[in-house]
Amino acid sequence: MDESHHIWTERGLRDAILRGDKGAWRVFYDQCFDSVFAFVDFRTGHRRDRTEEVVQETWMIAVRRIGSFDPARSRFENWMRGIAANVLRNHWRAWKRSETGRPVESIPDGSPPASRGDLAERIGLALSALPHRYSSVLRAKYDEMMTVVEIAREWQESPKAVESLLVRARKAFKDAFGGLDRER
Amino acid sequence: MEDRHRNEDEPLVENFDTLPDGAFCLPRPADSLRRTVLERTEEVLAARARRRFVIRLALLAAAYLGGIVTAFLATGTPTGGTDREIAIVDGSTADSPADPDELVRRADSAPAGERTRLLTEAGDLYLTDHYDVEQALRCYRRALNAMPPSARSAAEPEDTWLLAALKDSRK
Repeated sequence: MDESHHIWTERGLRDAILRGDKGAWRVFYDQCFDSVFAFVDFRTGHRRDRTEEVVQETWMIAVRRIGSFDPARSRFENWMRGIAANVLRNHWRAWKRSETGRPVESIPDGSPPASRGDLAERIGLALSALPHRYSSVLRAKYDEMMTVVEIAREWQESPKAVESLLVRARKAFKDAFGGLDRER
Repeated sequence: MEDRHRNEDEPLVENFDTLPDGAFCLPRPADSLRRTVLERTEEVLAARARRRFVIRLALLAAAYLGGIVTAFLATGTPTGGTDREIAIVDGSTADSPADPDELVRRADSAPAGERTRLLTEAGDLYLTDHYDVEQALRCYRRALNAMPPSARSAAEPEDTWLLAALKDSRK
Protein backbone atom coordinates (compact mmCIF):
# COMPACT_ATOMS: atom_id res chain seq x y z
CA MET A 1 0.00 0.00 0.00
CA ASP A 2 1.65 3.30 -1.03
CA GLU A 3 1.70 6.35 1.20
CA SER A 4 -0.97 8.38 -0.62
CA HIS A 5 -3.32 5.40 -0.54
CA HIS A 6 -2.64 5.00 3.15
CA ILE A 7 -3.35 8.65 3.86
CA TRP A 8 -6.54 8.44 1.85
CA THR A 9 -7.74 5.33 3.71
CA GLU A 10 -6.90 6.70 7.16
CA ARG A 11 -8.57 10.02 6.37
CA GLY A 12 -11.73 8.18 5.32
CA LEU A 13 -11.65 6.14 8.52
CA ARG A 14 -11.13 9.22 10.68
CA ASP A 15 -14.01 11.09 9.01
CA ALA A 16 -16.27 8.09 9.46
CA ILE A 17 -15.34 7.85 13.14
CA LEU A 18 -16.16 11.52 13.58
CA ARG A 19 -19.60 10.72 12.19
CA GLY A 20 -19.91 8.01 14.87
CA ASP A 21 -19.16 4.97 12.69
CA LYS A 22 -18.16 2.16 15.07
CA GLY A 23 -17.04 -0.08 12.21
CA ALA A 24 -14.40 2.45 11.16
CA TRP A 25 -13.19 2.73 14.75
CA ARG A 26 -13.00 -1.05 14.95
CA VAL A 27 -10.67 -1.10 11.93
CA PHE A 28 -8.17 1.22 13.64
CA TYR A 29 -8.63 -0.55 16.96
CA ASP A 30 -7.98 -4.04 15.59
CA GLN A 31 -5.00 -2.83 13.59
CA CYS A 32 -3.24 -1.14 16.49
CA PHE A 33 -4.38 -2.58 19.80
CA ASP A 34 -1.68 -5.24 20.06
CA SER A 35 1.15 -2.97 18.99
CA VAL A 36 0.12 -0.19 21.38
CA PHE A 37 -0.13 -2.75 24.16
CA ALA A 38 3.36 -4.11 23.43
CA PHE A 39 4.79 -0.60 23.20
CA VAL A 40 3.40 0.28 26.64
CA ASP A 41 4.15 -3.08 28.27
CA PHE A 42 7.85 -2.89 27.46
CA ARG A 43 7.97 0.61 28.88
CA THR A 44 6.29 -0.26 32.17
CA GLY A 45 8.79 -3.07 32.70
CA HIS A 46 5.97 -5.59 32.03
CA ARG A 47 3.91 -4.51 35.05
CA ARG A 48 0.48 -5.53 33.83
CA ASP A 49 -1.49 -3.27 36.18
CA ARG A 50 0.41 -0.24 34.94
CA THR A 51 0.27 -1.36 31.32
CA GLU A 52 -3.50 -1.79 31.42
CA GLU A 53 -3.97 1.58 33.08
CA VAL A 54 -1.88 3.35 30.43
CA VAL A 55 -3.39 1.43 27.51
CA GLN A 56 -6.93 2.30 28.62
CA GLU A 57 -6.09 5.95 29.06
CA THR A 58 -4.29 6.08 25.71
CA TRP A 59 -7.30 4.74 23.81
CA MET A 60 -9.73 6.99 25.66
CA ILE A 61 -7.65 10.02 24.73
CA ALA A 62 -7.42 8.80 21.14
CA VAL A 63 -11.17 8.38 20.70
CA ARG A 64 -11.84 11.81 22.19
CA ARG A 65 -9.16 13.54 20.12
CA ILE A 66 -9.56 11.64 16.86
CA GLY A 67 -10.54 14.92 15.17
CA SER A 68 -6.99 16.19 15.67
CA PHE A 69 -5.44 13.14 13.99
CA ASP A 70 -3.97 14.20 10.65
CA PRO A 71 -3.10 11.22 8.40
CA ALA A 72 -0.91 13.45 6.23
CA ARG A 73 1.39 14.06 9.21
CA SER A 74 1.62 10.56 10.65
CA ARG A 75 0.05 7.16 10.48
CA PHE A 76 -2.58 6.30 13.06
CA GLU A 77 -0.27 3.75 14.63
CA ASN A 78 2.46 6.35 15.18
CA TRP A 79 -0.06 8.88 16.44
CA MET A 80 -1.20 6.30 19.01
CA ARG A 81 2.38 5.67 20.13
CA GLY A 82 2.86 9.41 20.60
CA ILE A 83 -0.20 9.54 22.87
CA ALA A 84 0.96 6.44 24.76
CA ALA A 85 4.43 7.94 25.31
CA ASN A 86 2.86 11.11 26.77
CA VAL A 87 0.54 9.11 29.02
CA LEU A 88 3.51 7.03 30.18
CA ARG A 89 5.50 10.14 31.03
CA ASN A 90 2.62 11.51 33.09
CA HIS A 91 2.13 8.22 34.90
CA TRP A 92 5.80 7.81 35.69
CA ARG A 93 5.68 10.97 37.75
CA ALA A 94 2.74 9.61 39.78
CA TRP A 95 4.32 6.17 40.11
CA LYS A 96 7.56 7.71 41.32
CA ARG A 97 5.71 9.71 43.95
CA SER A 98 3.73 6.70 45.17
CA GLU A 99 6.74 4.39 45.43
CA THR A 100 8.27 6.02 48.47
CA GLY A 101 9.84 2.89 49.87
CA ARG A 102 11.51 1.87 46.64
CA PRO A 103 13.73 4.15 44.57
CA VAL A 104 12.69 4.45 40.94
CA GLU A 105 15.18 5.72 38.43
CA SER A 106 14.33 8.60 36.14
CA ILE A 107 12.61 7.31 33.02
CA PRO A 108 13.14 9.46 29.96
CA ASP A 109 10.59 8.96 27.18
CA GLY A 110 8.80 6.21 29.03
CA SER A 111 11.54 3.63 28.64
CA PRO A 112 11.59 0.68 31.06
CA PRO A 113 13.32 0.63 34.41
CA ALA A 114 15.20 -2.64 34.10
CA SER A 115 16.26 -5.47 31.84
CA ARG A 116 18.08 -3.19 29.45
CA GLY A 117 21.06 -5.49 29.48
CA ASP A 118 18.95 -8.34 28.28
CA LEU A 119 19.25 -8.52 24.50
CA ALA A 120 15.85 -10.13 23.93
CA GLU A 121 14.21 -7.43 26.02
CA ARG A 122 16.01 -4.69 24.13
CA ILE A 123 15.08 -6.16 20.78
CA GLY A 124 11.44 -6.32 21.88
CA LEU A 125 11.60 -2.76 23.14
CA ALA A 126 12.99 -1.50 19.82
CA LEU A 127 10.54 -3.61 17.80
CA SER A 128 7.58 -2.27 19.75
CA ALA A 129 8.48 1.25 18.63
CA LEU A 130 8.29 0.32 14.93
CA PRO A 131 5.29 0.42 12.60
CA HIS A 132 3.53 -2.93 12.41
CA ARG A 133 4.66 -3.55 8.82
CA TYR A 134 8.30 -3.05 9.76
CA SER A 135 8.17 -5.39 12.76
CA SER A 136 6.32 -7.97 10.64
CA VAL A 137 8.95 -8.06 7.92
CA LEU A 138 11.76 -8.24 10.50
CA ARG A 139 9.98 -11.07 12.28
CA ALA A 140 9.53 -12.95 9.01
CA LYS A 141 13.18 -12.47 8.11
CA TYR A 142 14.98 -12.91 11.42
CA ASP A 143 12.61 -15.01 13.50
CA GLU A 144 10.93 -17.21 10.91
CA MET A 145 14.12 -17.21 8.80
CA MET A 146 12.28 -16.63 5.53
CA THR A 147 14.08 -15.32 2.47
CA VAL A 148 12.96 -12.17 0.69
CA VAL A 149 11.48 -14.29 -2.08
CA GLU A 150 9.53 -16.41 0.39
CA ILE A 151 8.18 -13.34 2.18
CA ALA A 152 7.21 -11.79 -1.15
CA ARG A 153 5.37 -14.95 -2.15
CA GLU A 154 3.50 -15.18 1.15
CA TRP A 155 2.61 -11.49 1.24
CA GLN A 156 1.74 -11.44 -2.47
CA GLU A 157 4.14 -8.62 -3.15
CA SER A 158 7.16 -8.27 -5.40
CA PRO A 159 10.58 -9.30 -4.01
CA LYS A 160 11.79 -5.78 -4.81
CA ALA A 161 9.06 -4.23 -2.65
CA VAL A 162 9.84 -6.61 0.23
CA GLU A 163 13.56 -5.98 -0.12
CA SER A 164 13.02 -2.24 0.04
CA LEU A 165 10.70 -2.63 3.03
CA LEU A 166 13.31 -4.78 4.76
CA VAL A 167 16.02 -2.17 4.26
CA ARG A 168 13.79 0.56 5.73
CA ALA A 169 12.65 -1.67 8.58
CA ARG A 170 16.22 -2.62 9.45
CA LYS A 171 17.29 1.02 9.49
CA ALA A 172 14.33 2.00 11.68
CA PHE A 173 15.13 -0.90 14.01
CA LYS A 174 18.79 0.09 14.28
CA ASP A 175 17.82 3.69 15.02
CA ALA A 176 15.40 2.56 17.73
CA PHE A 177 17.89 0.03 19.11
CA GLY A 178 20.70 2.59 19.13
CA GLY A 179 18.36 5.06 20.82
CA LEU A 180 18.14 2.71 23.81
CA ASP A 181 21.90 3.03 24.36
CA ARG A 182 21.73 6.82 24.10
CA GLU A 183 18.93 6.91 26.70
CA ARG A 184 21.01 4.90 29.15
CA MET B 1 22.59 -9.39 -7.23
CA GLU B 2 25.54 -9.79 -4.90
CA ASP B 3 24.53 -6.57 -3.13
CA ARG B 4 21.04 -7.84 -2.67
CA HIS B 5 22.23 -11.00 -0.95
CA ARG B 6 24.67 -9.09 1.20
CA ASN B 7 21.81 -6.80 2.30
CA GLU B 8 19.45 -9.68 2.81
CA ASP B 9 21.85 -11.53 5.09
CA GLU B 10 22.87 -8.49 7.11
CA PRO B 11 22.52 -9.24 10.85
CA LEU B 12 19.82 -7.30 12.64
CA VAL B 13 21.99 -6.62 15.66
CA GLU B 14 25.70 -6.11 15.16
CA ASN B 15 27.94 -8.92 16.47
CA PHE B 16 24.94 -11.25 16.86
CA ASP B 17 24.44 -13.62 13.94
CA THR B 18 21.74 -15.45 15.84
CA LEU B 19 19.24 -13.70 18.05
CA PRO B 20 18.12 -15.01 21.45
CA ASP B 21 14.97 -17.11 21.63
CA GLY B 22 11.86 -15.11 22.26
CA ALA B 23 13.36 -11.86 21.01
CA PHE B 24 10.44 -11.43 18.64
CA CYS B 25 7.74 -12.46 21.09
CA LEU B 26 5.88 -9.29 21.86
CA PRO B 27 3.62 -9.23 24.95
CA ARG B 28 -0.01 -9.97 24.13
CA PRO B 29 -2.97 -8.24 25.78
CA ALA B 30 -5.67 -10.19 27.59
CA ASP B 31 -8.94 -10.54 25.67
CA SER B 32 -10.81 -9.02 28.60
CA LEU B 33 -8.74 -5.84 28.33
CA ARG B 34 -9.29 -5.69 24.57
CA ARG B 35 -13.06 -6.00 25.08
CA THR B 36 -13.25 -3.54 27.97
CA VAL B 37 -11.31 -0.82 26.19
CA LEU B 38 -13.29 -1.33 22.99
CA GLU B 39 -16.58 -1.02 24.87
CA ARG B 40 -15.47 2.11 26.67
CA THR B 41 -14.24 3.80 23.52
CA GLU B 42 -17.38 2.82 21.62
CA GLU B 43 -19.45 4.44 24.37
CA VAL B 44 -17.66 7.70 23.61
CA LEU B 45 -18.46 7.27 19.92
CA ALA B 46 -22.10 6.48 20.69
CA ALA B 47 -22.37 9.56 22.90
CA ARG B 48 -20.87 11.66 20.11
CA ALA B 49 -23.35 10.20 17.60
CA ARG B 50 -26.24 10.89 20.01
CA ARG B 51 -25.13 14.51 20.40
CA ARG B 52 -24.96 14.93 16.63
CA PHE B 53 -28.40 13.37 16.26
CA VAL B 54 -29.93 15.66 18.89
CA ILE B 55 -28.35 18.73 17.29
CA ARG B 56 -29.63 17.70 13.85
CA LEU B 57 -33.07 17.04 15.27
CA ALA B 58 -33.11 20.44 16.96
CA LEU B 59 -32.04 22.14 13.73
CA LEU B 60 -34.69 20.25 11.81
CA ALA B 61 -37.34 21.17 14.36
CA ALA B 62 -36.25 24.79 14.26
CA ALA B 63 -36.42 24.80 10.46
CA TYR B 64 -39.84 23.14 10.53
CA LEU B 65 -41.21 25.58 13.11
CA GLY B 66 -39.71 28.44 11.13
CA GLY B 67 -41.59 27.20 8.07
CA ILE B 68 -44.88 27.00 9.96
CA VAL B 69 -44.41 30.46 11.41
CA THR B 70 -43.54 31.85 7.98
CA ALA B 71 -46.58 30.19 6.38
CA PHE B 72 -48.80 31.45 9.22
CA LEU B 73 -47.51 34.98 8.85
CA ALA B 74 -47.97 34.87 5.07
CA THR B 75 -51.51 33.42 4.97
CA GLY B 76 -52.83 34.09 8.41
CA THR B 77 -53.62 30.41 8.95
CA PRO B 78 -51.41 27.50 9.76
CA THR B 79 -50.80 25.21 6.81
CA GLY B 80 -52.29 21.77 6.95
CA GLY B 81 -50.40 18.78 5.82
CA THR B 82 -51.51 17.17 2.62
CA ASP B 83 -52.08 13.51 2.38
CA ARG B 84 -49.25 11.92 0.56
CA GLU B 85 -48.50 8.45 -0.42
CA ILE B 86 -45.19 7.26 0.73
CA ALA B 87 -43.67 4.46 -1.21
CA ILE B 88 -41.42 2.26 0.81
CA VAL B 89 -38.97 0.54 -1.39
CA ASP B 90 -37.13 -2.44 -0.10
CA GLY B 91 -33.76 -2.31 -1.80
CA SER B 92 -32.75 -5.79 -0.83
CA THR B 93 -33.61 -8.76 -2.94
CA ALA B 94 -34.91 -11.92 -1.37
CA ASP B 95 -32.30 -14.11 -2.96
CA SER B 96 -29.26 -11.95 -2.08
CA PRO B 97 -26.74 -14.09 -0.20
CA ALA B 98 -25.00 -12.51 2.78
CA ASP B 99 -21.65 -13.94 1.74
CA PRO B 100 -19.59 -11.25 0.00
CA ASP B 101 -17.34 -13.83 -1.68
CA GLU B 102 -20.39 -15.39 -3.30
CA LEU B 103 -21.57 -11.97 -4.48
CA VAL B 104 -18.18 -11.31 -6.07
CA ARG B 105 -18.34 -14.68 -7.82
CA ARG B 106 -21.82 -13.89 -9.15
CA ALA B 107 -20.64 -10.46 -10.27
CA ASP B 108 -18.02 -12.02 -12.54
CA SER B 109 -20.65 -13.44 -14.84
CA ALA B 110 -23.33 -10.74 -14.42
CA PRO B 111 -24.17 -8.02 -16.94
CA ALA B 112 -22.71 -4.53 -16.26
CA GLY B 113 -25.58 -2.99 -14.23
CA GLU B 114 -26.07 -6.09 -12.11
CA ARG B 115 -22.31 -6.43 -11.64
CA THR B 116 -22.15 -2.92 -10.19
CA ARG B 117 -24.95 -3.72 -7.74
CA LEU B 118 -23.45 -7.04 -6.67
CA LEU B 119 -19.95 -5.60 -6.20
CA THR B 120 -21.26 -2.62 -4.25
CA GLU B 121 -23.25 -4.94 -2.01
CA ALA B 122 -20.19 -7.17 -1.52
CA GLY B 123 -18.11 -4.07 -0.65
CA ASP B 124 -20.75 -3.02 1.91
CA LEU B 125 -20.67 -6.47 3.52
CA TYR B 126 -16.87 -6.60 3.66
CA LEU B 127 -16.81 -3.18 5.27
CA THR B 128 -19.67 -3.36 7.72
CA ASP B 129 -19.77 -7.05 8.64
CA HIS B 130 -16.14 -8.11 8.20
CA TYR B 131 -14.30 -4.82 8.87
CA ASP B 132 -12.14 -5.67 5.86
CA VAL B 133 -11.30 -2.33 4.29
CA GLU B 134 -8.95 -3.76 1.68
CA GLN B 135 -11.50 -6.22 0.26
CA ALA B 136 -14.23 -3.57 0.39
CA LEU B 137 -11.99 -1.18 -1.50
CA ARG B 138 -11.29 -3.80 -4.15
CA CYS B 139 -15.03 -4.42 -4.67
CA TYR B 140 -15.93 -0.74 -4.74
CA ARG B 141 -13.19 -0.01 -7.26
CA ARG B 142 -14.45 -2.79 -9.55
CA ALA B 143 -18.02 -1.58 -9.08
CA LEU B 144 -17.05 1.97 -10.04
CA ASN B 145 -15.11 0.75 -13.06
CA ALA B 146 -18.21 -1.12 -14.23
CA MET B 147 -20.33 2.05 -14.01
CA PRO B 148 -20.72 4.55 -16.83
CA PRO B 149 -18.15 7.38 -16.28
CA SER B 150 -20.86 9.94 -15.45
CA ALA B 151 -22.13 7.85 -12.51
CA ARG B 152 -18.72 7.20 -10.96
CA SER B 153 -18.61 10.35 -8.86
CA ALA B 154 -22.33 10.72 -8.14
CA ALA B 155 -22.81 10.31 -4.39
CA GLU B 156 -25.81 8.31 -3.18
CA PRO B 157 -27.29 8.62 0.31
CA GLU B 158 -26.83 4.92 0.99
CA ASP B 159 -23.10 4.98 0.11
CA THR B 160 -20.78 3.88 2.91
CA TRP B 161 -18.05 6.28 3.99
CA LEU B 162 -15.53 4.33 1.95
CA LEU B 163 -17.55 4.35 -1.27
CA ALA B 164 -18.35 8.04 -0.77
CA ALA B 165 -14.65 8.82 -0.27
CA LEU B 166 -13.74 6.77 -3.34
CA LYS B 167 -16.30 8.58 -5.49
CA ASP B 168 -15.12 11.87 -4.09
CA SER B 169 -11.54 11.07 -5.07
CA ARG B 170 -12.66 10.40 -8.65
CA LYS B 171 -14.26 13.81 -9.13
